[in-house]
Amino acid sequence: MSSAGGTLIRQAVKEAKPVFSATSEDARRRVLNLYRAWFRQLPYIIREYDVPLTLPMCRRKLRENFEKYRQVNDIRVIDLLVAKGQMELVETAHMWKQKTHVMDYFKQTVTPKPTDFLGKFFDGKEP
Amino acid sequence: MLGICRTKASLTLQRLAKLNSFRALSSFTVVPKFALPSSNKHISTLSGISQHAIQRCSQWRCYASASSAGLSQDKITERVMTVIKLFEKISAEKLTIESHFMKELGLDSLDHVELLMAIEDEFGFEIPDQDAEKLNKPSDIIKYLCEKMEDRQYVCM
Repeated sequence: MSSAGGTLIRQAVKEAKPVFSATSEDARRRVLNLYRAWFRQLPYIIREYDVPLTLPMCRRKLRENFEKYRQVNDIRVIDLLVAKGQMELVETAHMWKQKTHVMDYFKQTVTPKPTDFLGKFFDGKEP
Repeated sequence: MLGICRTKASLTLQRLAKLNSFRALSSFTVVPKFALPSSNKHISTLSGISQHAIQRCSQWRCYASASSAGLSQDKITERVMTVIKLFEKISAEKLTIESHFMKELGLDSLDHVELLMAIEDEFGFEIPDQDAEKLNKPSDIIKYLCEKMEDRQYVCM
C-alpha cells in the first residue's frame, strides 16, 4: 500500500498504569482475600443488623455476587471491583448501613425485566 | 452483658484491622494445657469470646509435646478428614487422602478458600496466602499442619 509505505508508522505500545496489582496472581489474591473477609463477617452482619436471613442464604448471595464477575480478566477492572467490594464491606462492618441496605442485596422487590420476545411484547416494549 | 459486648467490640475491631490489609495476617495462639477441652471441639465463628480468651492466654507457654497433646499425625488426619467431609460440596465417596480438590473433586477456587477457612477455624490459626495456594490435596494439608504444629508446639482447642 503506497500510503502506508511512505511514512514509517511507529506504533507506540501503550501500557496501562496498574490500579493496585501488577500481575494477575496479585489480583487473584486480592479477590480471594476479599471473599475471605466477607465470609468471616457474615455471621456478625446477621446478628448486628437483625436481618431475617440465615447464614446459608447469605453465603449463597455472597457466592452469587462473586460469580457475577467470574469472566472478567482485565486486571484493572478486577482491582476496581475488589475496591468497591472492600468499600461495601467496610460500610457494612462499621454499621454505617441500615437493615434496608443489607436487604437490598437480595432484591426482593425488584421484578425481573423480560428478555424474550413474548415477554417484551406483553409488556408493551418494542423489540 | 457488658463484658460480652466489649469482647465482641474488640473482635470486630480486630476484623476491621484485617479488612484494611489485603493479606491475612498469620496469628498463632498458645493455650495452657490445663485449659484444654476435648481436642475435637470445633471452634465456631460465632464463639468469638473463646477466641478472645485464647489470645489473652498467649503469654503462657505450653510444655506439652506434640504426641501427648493429641497432635499426632493420625489425630490431625482424622480432624482434617472430618472437616472436609462436613463440607457439603464434596461427595464423601470420591474423597480420599490423595484426591485433588480442583481436578477430582470439582471444587472452585472460592470453594477451596471456604474449605481452608473451615480448617483454620478447626485448628485455630491462620494459613497465609502463599501457603494456601499450594494446599490442593488433603495429604498436603495434613503435612503442612504437622509441620506447623511441630514448629510452634501449639496446643489447639
